Amino acid sequence: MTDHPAIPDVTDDDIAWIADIMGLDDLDKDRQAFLKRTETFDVSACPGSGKTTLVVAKLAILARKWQHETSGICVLSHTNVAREEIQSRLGHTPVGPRLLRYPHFIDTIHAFANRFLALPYLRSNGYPSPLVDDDVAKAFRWNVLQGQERWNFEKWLNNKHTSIDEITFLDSDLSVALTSRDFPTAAHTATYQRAQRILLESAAAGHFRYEEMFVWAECLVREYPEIEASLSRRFPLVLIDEMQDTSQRQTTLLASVFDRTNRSSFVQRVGDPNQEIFKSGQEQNVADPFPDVGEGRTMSIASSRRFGCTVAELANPLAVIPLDAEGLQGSGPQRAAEFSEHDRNLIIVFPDDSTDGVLETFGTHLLETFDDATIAIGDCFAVGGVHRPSPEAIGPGHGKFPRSVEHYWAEYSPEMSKSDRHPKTLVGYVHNAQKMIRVSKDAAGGIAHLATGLKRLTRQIGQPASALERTLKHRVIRGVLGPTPESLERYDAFVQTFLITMTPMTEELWLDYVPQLRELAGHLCQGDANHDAGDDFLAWEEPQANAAELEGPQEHAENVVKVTSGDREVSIRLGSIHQVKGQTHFATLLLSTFQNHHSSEKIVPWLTGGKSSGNGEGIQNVSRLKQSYVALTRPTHLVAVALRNSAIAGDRAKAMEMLQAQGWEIKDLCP
Amino acid sequence: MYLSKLIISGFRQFGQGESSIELTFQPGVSALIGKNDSGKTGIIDAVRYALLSRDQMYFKVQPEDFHVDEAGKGVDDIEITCVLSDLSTADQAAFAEHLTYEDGTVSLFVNFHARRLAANGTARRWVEVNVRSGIEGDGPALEMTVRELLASAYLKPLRDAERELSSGRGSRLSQILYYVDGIKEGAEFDPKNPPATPAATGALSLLGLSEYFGHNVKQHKGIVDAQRAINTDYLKALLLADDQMTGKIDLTEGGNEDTRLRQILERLELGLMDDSGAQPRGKFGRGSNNILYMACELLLLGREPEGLPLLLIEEPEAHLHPQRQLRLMQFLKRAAEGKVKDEEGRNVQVILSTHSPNLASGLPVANTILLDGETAHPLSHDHTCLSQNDYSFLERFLDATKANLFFAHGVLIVEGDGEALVLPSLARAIGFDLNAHGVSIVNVKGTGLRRFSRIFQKSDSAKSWISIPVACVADMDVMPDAAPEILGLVEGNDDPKWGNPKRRWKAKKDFGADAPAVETGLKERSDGLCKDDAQNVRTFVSDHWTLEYDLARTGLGSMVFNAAMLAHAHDKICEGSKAENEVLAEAEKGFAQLLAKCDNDDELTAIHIYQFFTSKKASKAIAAQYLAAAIDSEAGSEGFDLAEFEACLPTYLVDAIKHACGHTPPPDPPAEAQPVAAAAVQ
Repeated sequence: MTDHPAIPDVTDDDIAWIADIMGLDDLDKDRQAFLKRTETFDVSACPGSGKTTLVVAKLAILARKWQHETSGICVLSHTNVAREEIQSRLGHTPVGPRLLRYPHFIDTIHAFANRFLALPYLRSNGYPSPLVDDDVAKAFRWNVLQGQERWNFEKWLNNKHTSIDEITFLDSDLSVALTSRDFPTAAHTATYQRAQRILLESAAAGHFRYEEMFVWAECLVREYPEIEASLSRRFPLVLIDEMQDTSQRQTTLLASVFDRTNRSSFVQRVGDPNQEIFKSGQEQNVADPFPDVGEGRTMSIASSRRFGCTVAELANPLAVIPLDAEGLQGSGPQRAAEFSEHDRNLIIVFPDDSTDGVLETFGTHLLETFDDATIAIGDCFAVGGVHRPSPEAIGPGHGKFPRSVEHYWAEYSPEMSKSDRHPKTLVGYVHNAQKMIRVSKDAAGGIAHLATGLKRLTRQIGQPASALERTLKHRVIRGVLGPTPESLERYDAFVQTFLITMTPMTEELWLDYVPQLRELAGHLCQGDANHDAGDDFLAWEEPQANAAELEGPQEHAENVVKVTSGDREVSIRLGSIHQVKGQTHFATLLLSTFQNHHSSEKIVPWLTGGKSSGNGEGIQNVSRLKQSYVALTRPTHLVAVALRNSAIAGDRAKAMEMLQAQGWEIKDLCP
Repeated sequence: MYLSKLIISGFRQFGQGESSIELTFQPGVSALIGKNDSGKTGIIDAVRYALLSRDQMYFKVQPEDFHVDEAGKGVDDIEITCVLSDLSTADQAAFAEHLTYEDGTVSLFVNFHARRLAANGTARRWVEVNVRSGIEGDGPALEMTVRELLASAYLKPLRDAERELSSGRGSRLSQILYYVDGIKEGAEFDPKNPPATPAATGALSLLGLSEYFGHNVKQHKGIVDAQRAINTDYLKALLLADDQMTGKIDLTEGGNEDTRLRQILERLELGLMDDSGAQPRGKFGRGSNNILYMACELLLLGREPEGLPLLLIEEPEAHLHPQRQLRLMQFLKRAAEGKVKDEEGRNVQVILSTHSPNLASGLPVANTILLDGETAHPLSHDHTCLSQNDYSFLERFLDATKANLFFAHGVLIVEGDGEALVLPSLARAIGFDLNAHGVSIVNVKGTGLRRFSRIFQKSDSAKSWISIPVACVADMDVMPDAAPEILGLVEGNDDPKWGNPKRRWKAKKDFGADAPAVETGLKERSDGLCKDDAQNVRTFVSDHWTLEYDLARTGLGSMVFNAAMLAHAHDKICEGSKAENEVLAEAEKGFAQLLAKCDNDDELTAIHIYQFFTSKKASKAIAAQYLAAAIDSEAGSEGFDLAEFEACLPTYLVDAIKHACGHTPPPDPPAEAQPVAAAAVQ
């Protein structure tokens, strides 16, 4: 396209400028190339490559030179956490804040699809402004049918091994489908029509699941193909982070608005295919694979700033897609003075029926290897692929033991690692709001959070006054309550009590307030409110002691095992591999967990050097390898793997020998 | 991209719900026309509130902006919706998150919502303003950067163009020049190697020239001396021993190249000079400067790469004489098509308000919006009963003398000079002064009477009607049976000319064999002339033949006769060879003779009087002037009886006058019902 808004050139001076500002003293050839390239290309960036830093640096350079007033840069990430990291780090550069405003866009792919496609489509077609939330949508859908009809329908769905939770739609005509397959009966049947009625009412009330918003986005692109030209012009440069975690559907949607092949937009995709652990195995992105296969359209950054060459060498064979000829390089950690290269990376072999001592061995090993000052550089983690408890009782001696992280430490609580931005109850919002205020010392955010919760309650009992769609909800709520001074007074008193004087919320207090809050929400409705609805949302919930996002990783003391040796002590934090993706640890222990197979049994050949890459492996094993790769590439100083004895039982001596040859130190806990 | 629709609710004179206003605009030039207080400024201001304007980027909603209804109750919400259509790819890109997709077209809705809030029990009041996209305003808020893209250029009435074109910080001229191609071209100035030849000086860029100038200024003896004097003689004497401070005389310049260029441009001013090349300040008045100013604005709008190219002009006729007004209109039309000078220009939309029939006549009818009460009536295709043919007819024939119909409270459309001259006097005599009633007379001179009246008829009569009453005055054009022979058109009843299919006159007996049949036939003819009557447009047809005949026939026989005689003698009266009262004395005798000759038969008398006009002995127009004067003097005379005089007039004229003045006699049969909405407006 001739009138493609030009992307500013990145010069050596620009790179010197940003390197100075951000303190990037080690930009090698690959990294400089990444900063300079302005056309479409894919980047495979290895763990610890400083990908986010590079993205932020590149954006800061472009922000400084950007000339277009109505065309901007679109930066898409996969999760809110990633989006927030880019936003906050950009905000700390001198010119970065410009990118946080029009005409630029930095957000998740979901948010992009909503803002530019799905929401305009819904608005144009007369739908109310939607509330997109899986839990709320499901709750609403459960309540559409009543009495006997619902009972019969549920029973029928049960027989078909599904439930109302799985009912969804695939097109703007709301034709019924299930989340993972077709609806069991055809359109003329009564059951189908019941399901459709649920969808129609849910759509009319604006309740949608996250994934359903893509349906509307796809509709807009299909009905108005010219959107490709306009969005490409709006965003002549698109940067997609964590590309490997983008689903087939998201990739297809993005490709339909940003065509990478005809140069109408330049699309730069950054990610690491070896760390793709969020997609289910079935959903391989075949339509538009990442990284691109085109000549000259891919580059890789294979040298990690996180760990040194020993960790790199140990993790390298587990890369499903082999890196460049030289493989994964370790040139970290950045604080070189604090790093002592060593060869004490550890394999712990434990008996099939006991995990006793695994964590202690790891901890003791750390204390033996490093002095306290060195250990204090970062956190020590022990992570496993499976961390949620199983419904069946599994204990030592069971064939699946150890199945999940809790089998290494009985007090492990998977819920605690999950941060919750959308509490399931209104009191959850109050707890969160108090926490936010305590952390930030500023009441505004917390009050806004409570107001959002109150709006959600309103939504459950009726049709919220249209003003509530606005962003400044606290102000709007006060405005809507204006005509009823008593309720305004109550709202103000509630805010005063809990968010300004910060009275701790107890179950007793809460239950006293519930009728008042219900009435408040009633005043926020237009038309009648159903005061019987919303019971679940108004239920009492204990404050979550842990809120990682709110208080930062150092604050919370749960899921931490302390290992002592003499008068010294090291803390080991437990968690899932998914949870620690993107993190940097001081030391990481990969635990063996069970899903169809014991993970250590299946990955041991890649540890002994018997195998490398994912070629020819089944989906499940590819997934195990990716998870293991993620875990092994976390630490700056030391990596460890716990192997179930069964993993090497075939020929223990040979296996031990091979592992040692690879550079592993072995501690055998077997009797 | 252009503003295609505007909906205003609760703002100034525009009420809410049924009494809100909805306007549609065409691309190009649109004119808001209508009498005072019809809401022209309200509409322009509504656009400025909703889309912002560039002169004062933000202006606050005032308490008096909230509509007050008839019961005296003020509303609490102002809602202004602008619909922008025909978005280019670049426009769609710029507003991607705000677009509305309907029926295969993409548009941008801008909803401005101002809400009056008051804190309970205190005197504190404030206005909360929200500007959001989406049909119902349920889209995301339009942030300021985005709104600035939509800001229109606004030219206020009676502006002081000379001041706006002069130099100064942020001057309009500097903004315009900044966007001119090549403004940044040229060589840099190198102080070590100053340009040696005039050609080298000429090759410098603006910045270079400025630096060159600054460089030379600093070396000027006077400056150098002054600077030294300040430093050594004064500053030094005032400083303490350790203070390090020196004065420096320089051209103030700072910042980056861009800022410096702007500073240079801000020092320039645009003036007019005559062909002697001198620049005589003050010789050119506000009008000329205004033209120059508008030219600048259009240049700027047409060149800017982004945003909504909308120019709002209130009363561009200010300070301009009629010919300039027409010229301006032509220019605006060309500018709107992006055809000024270079082909790169964008299509600019111009919305102007005017009181000038000159400007109104300079625009195609389709581009005008007639404001009437609180209703706006676009006169574009599909909105009126005008056919395509009518539009092109009106483009040719709706001149400045007729364009005053747009500003009238009532309109009389007449076929000839006779009516145009006599009707004002008649109306005054029967107590309906046309000026006092704001009634305009449009003289179509023979053709196209209906084409003008259709301007006032909405194609969709279910929408509120244009409230301006329009009376079309038409001749029946049927002679009494005796007339053809008297006028010498035939000889006797058996003349074969009676049977000539090509004859252009009609007599009563052409309409039937006996009296009832003739009556039916004439009724049909009259109804035929009225067949397009609808809404507030009505046609009034003479009972018999023509204005002069019917006046003579119904009771003004002697007055019409006198007028005809005066007209006949007009040249002599003007030369002074005959006095007016001499003619009148002769006329008195002549009229007595005529009555005797006709045996006091009204019809025959009237035919003979009318013969003066058909035989060209008297000019209708001149006779009409005398007749009008006679009516005026009659009406001013002692003992004039208004009712008696009115009884002497043909009823169709009385009815037409009363209709145009808003005193419509009850229609017979009852006309179609006025829609409720329109009735409410009235």
